[in-house]
Amino acid sequence: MQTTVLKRFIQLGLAIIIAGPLLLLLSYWWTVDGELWQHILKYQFLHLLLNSFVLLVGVGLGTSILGIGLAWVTYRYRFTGSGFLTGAFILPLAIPAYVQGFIYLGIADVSGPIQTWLRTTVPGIGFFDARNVFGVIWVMSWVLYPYVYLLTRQAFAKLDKSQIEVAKLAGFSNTKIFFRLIFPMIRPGWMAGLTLVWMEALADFGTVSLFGFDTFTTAIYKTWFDFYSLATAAQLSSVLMLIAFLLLWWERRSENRILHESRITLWEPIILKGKAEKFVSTLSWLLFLAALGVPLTQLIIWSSQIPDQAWSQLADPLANTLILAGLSALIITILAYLQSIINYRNPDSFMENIVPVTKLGYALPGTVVAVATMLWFSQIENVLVDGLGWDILISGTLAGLICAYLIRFFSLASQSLVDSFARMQSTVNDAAKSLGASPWRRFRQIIWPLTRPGALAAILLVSVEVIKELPATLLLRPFGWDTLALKVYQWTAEAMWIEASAPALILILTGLLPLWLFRPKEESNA
Amino acid sequence: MKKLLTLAVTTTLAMASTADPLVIYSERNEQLIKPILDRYSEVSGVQYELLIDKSAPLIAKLKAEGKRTPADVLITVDAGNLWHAANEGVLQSINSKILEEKVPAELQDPENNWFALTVRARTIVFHKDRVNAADLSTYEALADEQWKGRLCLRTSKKVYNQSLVGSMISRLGEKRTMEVVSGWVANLATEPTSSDTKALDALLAGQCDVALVNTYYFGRKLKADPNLPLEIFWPNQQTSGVHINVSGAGVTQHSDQPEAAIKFLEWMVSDEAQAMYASMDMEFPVVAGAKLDPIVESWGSFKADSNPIYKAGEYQRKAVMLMDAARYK
Repeated sequence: MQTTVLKRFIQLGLAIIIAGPLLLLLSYWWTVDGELWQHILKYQFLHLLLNSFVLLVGVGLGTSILGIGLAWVTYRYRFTGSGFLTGAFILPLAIPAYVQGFIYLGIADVSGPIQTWLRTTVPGIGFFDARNVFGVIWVMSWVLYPYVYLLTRQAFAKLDKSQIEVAKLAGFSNTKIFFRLIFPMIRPGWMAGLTLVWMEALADFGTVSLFGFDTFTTAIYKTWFDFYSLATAAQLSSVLMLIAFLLLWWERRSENRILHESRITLWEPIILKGKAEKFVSTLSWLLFLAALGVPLTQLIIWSSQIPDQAWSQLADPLANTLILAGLSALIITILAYLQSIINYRNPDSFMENIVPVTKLGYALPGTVVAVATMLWFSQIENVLVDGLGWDILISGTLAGLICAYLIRFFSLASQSLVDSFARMQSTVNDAAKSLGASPWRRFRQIIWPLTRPGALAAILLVSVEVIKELPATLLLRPFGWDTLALKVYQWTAEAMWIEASAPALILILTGLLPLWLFRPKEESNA
Repeated sequence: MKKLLTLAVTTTLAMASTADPLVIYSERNEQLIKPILDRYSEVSGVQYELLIDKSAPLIAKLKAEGKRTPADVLITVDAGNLWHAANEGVLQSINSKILEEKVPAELQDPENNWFALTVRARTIVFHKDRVNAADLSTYEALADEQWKGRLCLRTSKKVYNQSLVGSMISRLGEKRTMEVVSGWVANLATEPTSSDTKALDALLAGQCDVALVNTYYFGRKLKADPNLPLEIFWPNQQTSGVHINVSGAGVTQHSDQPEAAIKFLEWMVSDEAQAMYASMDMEFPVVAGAKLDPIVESWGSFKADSNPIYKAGEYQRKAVMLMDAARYK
């Protein structure tokens, strides 16, 4: 009985800490700026909804094709370098979308090397504007597909061979087997990945601004920065929150329908030979080079023009970035794990309905979450300092910053655990329980081994995101805690891409570290 | 590891006590402000802490922190942002003869909440080979038919364009300004760019022939390559003058050491600081007679719009709405 209370307390406490700042945004509905809303409805609203929708469909399609395709290839086939590529395909996650954006434009836009060369060799060819909707979708898909790849790859690895054999014996075609049998089994992983992709695309500001592509998020910034109306910006944010809530709710509904398996027979991969091997391996390596090789090469070319002294100034930001990423990834994963395990052991619809609320932070523009968090802290401080007379501040402290990361990235950790927990059959745990195994033993011997990949994925994703995080770090960091992302911002804000390339390069290399450490591994050939 | 532990202990829960160093919230980026702050530390012995972000989040932060704020000084760019900061009540009215005398009246807040520290002009830059300077005259004339498909503009989401259009509304009225802005949009060679630098790049690549940019972006390009085939043109010399904007600063409402903050601002308008600060990003000093960067000096003098700069903020909302209505992205 008492433990139930404790569990509810943890659940509700987490929900309040994480959703508090977001609910605070709702309080801005008390006053409505009629003139401004009229203006927004007249000139922007429909256009923004349409643009955001196009972005979601495009990036959803792009990341799914790349993500599921590469996951399938590395799961099903063995070819030259397939072991390396299985892990390497998640590495583009280390590239912040806006960095990929300015690299892409640097190469492909009118003053880039390709078009400059074309104009000198083919006179009268004119100008091709690379800043269009396809450019945005292209750039985002190449950095966001690893979410889909990582989470569907996990799902593929748990496919049960025996079911497929049965289907084969029953005479089903390969296509039918894929879409009717395999696809439903990888669906929770795919959807979890896709939801992350969508939330990140909805919240993006840096990339879409480079391309002049107006979305809901750019409108929120415009309302706040240009119309000076934080209230209306908060109101627009709550509309975005509603969209994200619907996405998450839809995802949870489908998540409940997955099949539980306790014992699976691994499906042996096909070892490719001859022409097929050449084709698959060449294609895979080319895709890997396109995703990571091209941007890194361009950054190296740019950063070779940078004086040595600029590099040495990056040592402290590097150390700060590593500390922040490691610390917050650990804390956030532990909390998300706690929430998942409580939900798993005590399926309780009330508590389950709280879960989506704790995930909303990821779908909102970073600066909005950062400001909401700051306002939230100041409310708490009002109580602590003015009410209780305690001389304590949260904002501008390390604890405050990590709390802001928790609010923004909790859903990342929690999404990574969805698949692992969804696949665990509760009967296994129940059986062990009835055999008298202690909770700790059940955890160590049953739950942890089955959910470990999810937990590692959570640490990985959160640490990479913290390495890339900018708005909350800018606003809430303690003095002196400059990070690499901050150094990139300092130059990109002035459109000085060459100078930005050095910190960007170090930032990406830093992100590769956790990604490679926790990369998915090829299943051993049975 | 030791660093991690000590920092964790000292910063995890900081005491809300008064801090000795001067705490500066700045929209101006580190590379453009740190050298001058370091110089001030050298001459005055005053240490400082710096927090950089965009203007709107910084103002929201100052408001949220209220009397607990560690900040003493707010430095930001654009008159609209300064006006907004004063309007939100995060700055205090300060009494300083030095600032009052050195900063021209049209470049300071009438209530003394803020003072400009540097001036920049938003002007026309054109390609020497494709444009005859005699064809250029005013901002308004860029809406003429002859510039169809030849104009590059930065996005209307940048405050510099909002201030420019705001000043036009105050001068010409909404109807005439709407005609001009619609004319600009019709003349665009390409979608508005994300930065002034990108507009200059498009100009160089040949995508357009004229662009509206802040002087220092052009200055930076010239510094990297003195032989650029681009030239500056000062518009509206027979009429209202070139649109200028400022970077400026004020003392925060709840600073616990306003005297130290004022002293710092007073030093910022000294000849030494002005020459250094303005030339660092190739701007114009706010104090007459301070030394200019050689490139900036080579552009010659010009007649500037003498309308008080604080008016920009008042017209900003109208300006943004007008640009939306004109489909200026």
